[in-house]
Amino acid sequence: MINGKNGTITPANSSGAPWPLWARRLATVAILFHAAAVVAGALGASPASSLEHEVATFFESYHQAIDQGYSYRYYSTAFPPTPVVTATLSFADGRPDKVVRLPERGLRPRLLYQRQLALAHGLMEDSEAARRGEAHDASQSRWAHSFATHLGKANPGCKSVELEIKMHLVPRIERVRHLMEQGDSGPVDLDSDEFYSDPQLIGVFPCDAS
Amino acid sequence: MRRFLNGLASYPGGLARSIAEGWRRFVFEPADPTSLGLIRVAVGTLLTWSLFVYGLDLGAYFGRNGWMNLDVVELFRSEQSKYSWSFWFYVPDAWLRPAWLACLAVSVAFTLGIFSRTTAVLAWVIAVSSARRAPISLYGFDNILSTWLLYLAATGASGQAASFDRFLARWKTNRAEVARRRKDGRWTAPGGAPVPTISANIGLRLIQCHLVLIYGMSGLAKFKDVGWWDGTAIWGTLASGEFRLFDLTWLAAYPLLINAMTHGALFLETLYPVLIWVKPIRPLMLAGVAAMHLGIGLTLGLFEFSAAMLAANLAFVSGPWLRSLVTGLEQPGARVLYDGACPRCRASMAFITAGDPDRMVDPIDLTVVDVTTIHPSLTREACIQAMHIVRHDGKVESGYEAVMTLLSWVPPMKPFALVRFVPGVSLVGRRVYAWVASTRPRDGTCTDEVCGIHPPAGREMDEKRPTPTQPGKVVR
Repeated sequence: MINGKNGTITPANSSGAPWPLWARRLATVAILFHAAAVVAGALGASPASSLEHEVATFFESYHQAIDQGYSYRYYSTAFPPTPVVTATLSFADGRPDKVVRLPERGLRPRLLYQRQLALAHGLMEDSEAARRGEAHDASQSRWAHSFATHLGKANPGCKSVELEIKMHLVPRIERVRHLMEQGDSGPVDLDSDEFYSDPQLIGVFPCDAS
Repeated sequence: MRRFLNGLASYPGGLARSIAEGWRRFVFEPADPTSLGLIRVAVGTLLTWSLFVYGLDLGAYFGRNGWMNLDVVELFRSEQSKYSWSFWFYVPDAWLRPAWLACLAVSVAFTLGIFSRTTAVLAWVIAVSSARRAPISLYGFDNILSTWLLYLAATGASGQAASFDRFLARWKTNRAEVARRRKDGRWTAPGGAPVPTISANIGLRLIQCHLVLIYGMSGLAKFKDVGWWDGTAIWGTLASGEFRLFDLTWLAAYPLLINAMTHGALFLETLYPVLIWVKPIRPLMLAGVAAMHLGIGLTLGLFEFSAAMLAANLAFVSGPWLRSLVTGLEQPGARVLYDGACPRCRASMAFITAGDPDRMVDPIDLTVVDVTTIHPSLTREACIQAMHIVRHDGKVESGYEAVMTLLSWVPPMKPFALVRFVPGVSLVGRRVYAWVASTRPRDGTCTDEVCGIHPPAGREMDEKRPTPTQPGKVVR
């Protein structure tokens, strides 16, 4: 129906009725608190000023409780190389080694592949942190132990799991142009060895989850 | 000087009043919940899909000894995120599959808008719990999904449109209304447009502001990298060996195109927070982000992330415009002549109009009107034999064809209308319709729980005729 005073539409049922003052004040406080927390989380990620960091820290428990506090700085640097994890499983009974690639090429649906990309990225970050840590030993990575344990349980008879990581590099545009100009009319092979970094050993883990 | 000082003194008060009024209009004005309802459908579908995909390798993601060992997850949680939580922490491996099935059921119910307020909260709990249980299998999609679900759960408004809840509520209302038919044979089923509400507005505003923050932060952060200045940053997405879906390395021969895509993405993200609020430019911005997310989907294969972002952009699309995509601009779309003396017909009309998005159907009780006034080609006998619809363009359909046309117009029933394209269905459908129409109960008071419609006192004479009545033999 039409409100005669100002011509605005006034809802006819109770769900559209104006809120009482106390409800509006409560909602205002809640929204402003939440907005401050979300903005603080976005600004508090590195690089950030001490002030931004302090404010983000103030909201940390709130962020954790409601799964917020993300920085949303997607691809703030040019597209980075992608970590690829290779697990080589040895078997006590003499079976040939089994190689597991993470992410597994051709895995469908695509979302499962994206999850594996994230797993490889998580392992890379943790193993890098372990390498930089006091022991300077990537095999101290907790995710590496977790991955190895999982692979051991999923492959009965497994003796050990060797985890390696390498980076799948983004080729420079000039290099791709050069390859295109070399006359071969086929597509540039992005899986060529030249577009991978040297593999780095994370560690060799026994399959008994130790 | 005095005027200057007075002005200076009154400025803070005026500013405060202005801000308060602006805030009231921004947050506490009722808004059409159609967009929010469609966001719920999209976000619910994505959550269901995400859960389904987890389910393909459930033990590996949520199992105690999966990729992310539960003890390790707990260790990280106690060190870095002690206030985070997940019900998956307490689900033993033997119960993973039943728990997953329950989550899937909740997610489907949320998508369809069944017990929307409750299932919205549960859907958010499921999304957060899944993210916390599998913390290193996440990417932007999961963050975004969790955020939209939080707003849909917190405002409780997502079921106010495009939901099963609303359909049931309207059906109940329409059953009561159809029993109170007016003298001219038409009854005033409430219009399909949902009632604007403040809670819907708050939900939409939260999503809008969060979207603005996401694009703004993503755009601003890019300014620190040289690749976004020299116009080459997009190359990485085109030539990533692990993300690519297609070979796009041939684009290396077109550096200016790569520059244009890079600058375009940067400008779009940085300008979105400002220009999306300018109504004449809004369609351009929405088209721009739609193109950008389509590009992200096709080059990086991040379909779910793109879909989640596009779904949220619906918060900037007007509800009436979205409804007009389904209903067209002309209302009512068709007049439907139904047998008002038949309880089953009344219940059917109440059912169909409950799913009507915006007065596409104008039901008319043929027992109390001269049908020739609706369309000169109609006869009372033909209308008694079969339901007739008179479309806006004057075309008349009857019987099975009319039912199928009606079903194809009403969004919740569109899937049922698709069966007509199955070979042989039309033939059987016509016979079934003829049988149902010829054996339908008439003139008796409806007492069953299915129709639940009781004729008003003024119509009792019309209702007290023997039953069943053969088609074409009704006497007024």
